[in-house]
Parts: sequence; structure tokens; C-alpha cells
Amino acid sequence: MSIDDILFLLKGTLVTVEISIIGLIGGVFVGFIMGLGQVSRNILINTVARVYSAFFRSIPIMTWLFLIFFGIPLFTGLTVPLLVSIGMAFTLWAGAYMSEIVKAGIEAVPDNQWKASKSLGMNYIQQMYYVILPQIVKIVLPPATGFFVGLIKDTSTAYILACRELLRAGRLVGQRTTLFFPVLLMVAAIYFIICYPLSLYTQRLERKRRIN
Amino acid sequence: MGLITGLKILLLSKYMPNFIQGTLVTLQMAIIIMCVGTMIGTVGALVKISQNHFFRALISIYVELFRNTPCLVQMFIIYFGFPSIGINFDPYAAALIALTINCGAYSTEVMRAGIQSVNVQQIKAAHSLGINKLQTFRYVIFPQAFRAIYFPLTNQFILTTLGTSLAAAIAVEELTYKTMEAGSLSFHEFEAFLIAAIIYLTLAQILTNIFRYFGIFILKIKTLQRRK
Repeated sequence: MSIDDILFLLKGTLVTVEISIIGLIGGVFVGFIMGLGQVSRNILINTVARVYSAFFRSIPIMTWLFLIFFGIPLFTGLTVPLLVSIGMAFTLWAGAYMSEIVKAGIEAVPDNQWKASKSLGMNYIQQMYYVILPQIVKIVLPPATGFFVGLIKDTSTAYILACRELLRAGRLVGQRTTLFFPVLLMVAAIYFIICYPLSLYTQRLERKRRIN
Repeated sequence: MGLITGLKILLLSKYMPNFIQGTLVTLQMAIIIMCVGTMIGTVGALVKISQNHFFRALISIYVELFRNTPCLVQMFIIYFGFPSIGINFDPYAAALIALTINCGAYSTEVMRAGIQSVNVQQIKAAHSLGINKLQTFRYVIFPQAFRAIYFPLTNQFILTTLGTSLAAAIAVEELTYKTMEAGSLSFHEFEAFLIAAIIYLTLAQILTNIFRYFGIFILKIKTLQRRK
């Protein structure tokens, strides 16, 4: 294994990190809106948000990758870069999981907070912005980082669309050097190095929350 | 556009056996993984709450290693990596092994958390009643831990069922792989995956509801027993 091979793996790592961050930012954005939708009292918005969440969570990411990869050119006639369709799939999919986390967070805020803020004459948006949301950050953070670890791991499914992320890079280097075992172990080690600190951080956040 | 998609789905009816076969393989894999994964999880959780430091550390390493690397990478190591040290697996076996030990690691964590969620006071109280360790587990810890474990564990099962789609990457002939096949043979990839999506959606919803109603059913029986 030469230095080039290791650089190639690192380049793959970069793509993996890129997809993860796109998925995280997009997922938080979509999840936040859909989470608010899930606790909304408007029946239409509520139903749409709930169906969205159930729909995206009941179909594996592998299928979403293919659906979006083939669906974008079919419906819009555009050819988009591979990373865009992968990013979109992860955004929508992560958004569904995030929306559940956000929903659970909002529901965990005691009812008194709603009543108290209402008695101060706040409207719905003010209640959300000044009272509820600052409180849910603490509640949402542990499951959200836990989900992010899962997301990083799941970006390896982009392998199937021939995206040059870490696993595909590992496979290619393995083929070139015929050293599959050590190369794949290295790939696993890179994933572990990225994920394990985040897992530990999640555990710490959870412990802290339990003490509070 | 909707009409055309619908018509193309009709064209795909020729490939229906593909989808049915794929679904059956997916289900078969899911059932095996759930059963063996639960067994691994039970043993792992019991070891993790035991007093033996060595085995406890061993299980912790297992859980952390498998929870912090992608299942797909584990599958690749088993399928592509092991032959180079002289151990060969066919794709189906490799996928099953990877998914099962992965599910086992998650189940271990879920069950350990469930058992440890039982209040220590309860165990002390049981101890003061003079019942032995086994009885304490059977009559005090288990009924309470079961409640805490059931829903997270079944949730894990549904994720596992959907996770069998990963096996398509090493050409196991389950639903996703069969769909890829039907898609490339018919040149209607999008429609083929639409069918797969509907099948996965149905499977997940059926499983969710079975687990939910079964859970309500058994947990209720437990409450009645306790009230007597």
C-alpha cells in the first residue's frame, strides 16, 4: 500500500464527512420544520408532518437514494451532480428522524410553561421562540448527536450509487492492492475514529441530562 | 406524469416474481436476525450487568466496536476481507452474520439500559424479603425491565428489517437487489424502486402495528397479574 492509496482513502473520508454534514444541516432544518408541524394544532399541517415522518422512516435509505437518483432526471429533466441527489436523499431522510426528536423535545416541555407564557399574553410564535425552543435544545441534543453518529454510518450506503465515499474508496484501494482485509479494517478504523468520540459525547450529554 | 408512471408500473408487472421473491428473502433474513440478535442481546446484557470484569469489558468492546462502524463496512470485511485470510462466505451468509452481530450489539445496549432502569431500591427490597438472586430477577427485575425494553427493542427490529436492504451491496438477492435487477432489465428504474418503496412501507407498517398491539396485549396482562 503506497502513500497514494492512503491519500485516496482520506479523500473518500472527506466525501463521507461532506455528505454527513449536508445530511445534518439539511436534516436539522427539515426536521425542525416538520417537528413543529407534528405538534401543530392545525389538522392539515399536523397530518402532513406525521405522514412525512412515517413515510420516510418506513422506507430504507438505500431505496430513497435510488428513488431520488432516478427520480430527479425523470421528473425535472435535469442532470444534477451525484452529490446533490445523495445530499437531498439524506436531507429528507434525516429530516424525518429529526422531526421525531424535535417533536419529543417539544412534548417534554411541561404544560405549565405553555400556560404561563400564554397568561403573559404571548402569541404562539412568541411562546415557541422565547419559552419552548430554548428549553428543548437541552432535551434534543443527546438524541440528535446520537442520530448524527447513525447518519455518518449510514452515509456508507451511498456506496451503492458509485459515490467515491470512504467505503467505495476502500473497495477500490482493496482491488488495486488486493489487500482487502487490511484496507477494509482501515476503513472501519476511520469510521470508528470519527464516530466514537461523538458516541462518548452523546453518552456524556445523556448522563448530564439524567442528573438534571 | 402521474399517469405515465402508473402505466410504467403496469409494464413492470412482468417482474412481479422478482419483487415477491425479494420480499420473501428480506422477510426471512429479518426473522433470523431478530431471533439470533435477541439471543445475543440477552446474553450480552446479562454479562454486562454481571460482576465479572473481564467479560464485561469484552462485551463493552464488542458493543462499542459494532455500534461505531457502519454495518455495510462489517459486511464488506466479512465478505471481501475474510477470504484473504482463508475463510469464505457466500453473500447471504456474510450479510446475515454482519446484520446479526450488529443487531446483537444494539439489542445488548437496549436490554442493559432496560434492566438498569429498574430502581435499585426494588432489588434491595427483594433482598430483604429473603428471596434469592434468581427469584429476584424472575419476579422483580424481569417484569419491570421487560416493560422498559419491549418498545425500544421492537423499534430496533423494524430498523433491522429495513437494514436488510444493505445486503444488496454484496448481491444478496433480497428486495433491493431484485429491484435493481428488475429496474435495469426494464429500463424503468424509478418505477421499480417505487414498487420497492411501497413494499418496504407496507412491511414496516405491518410490523409496527403487530408489535404495538402485541405489546399492548402482553403488557396489559402483566398489569392485571400485578393487581391480583
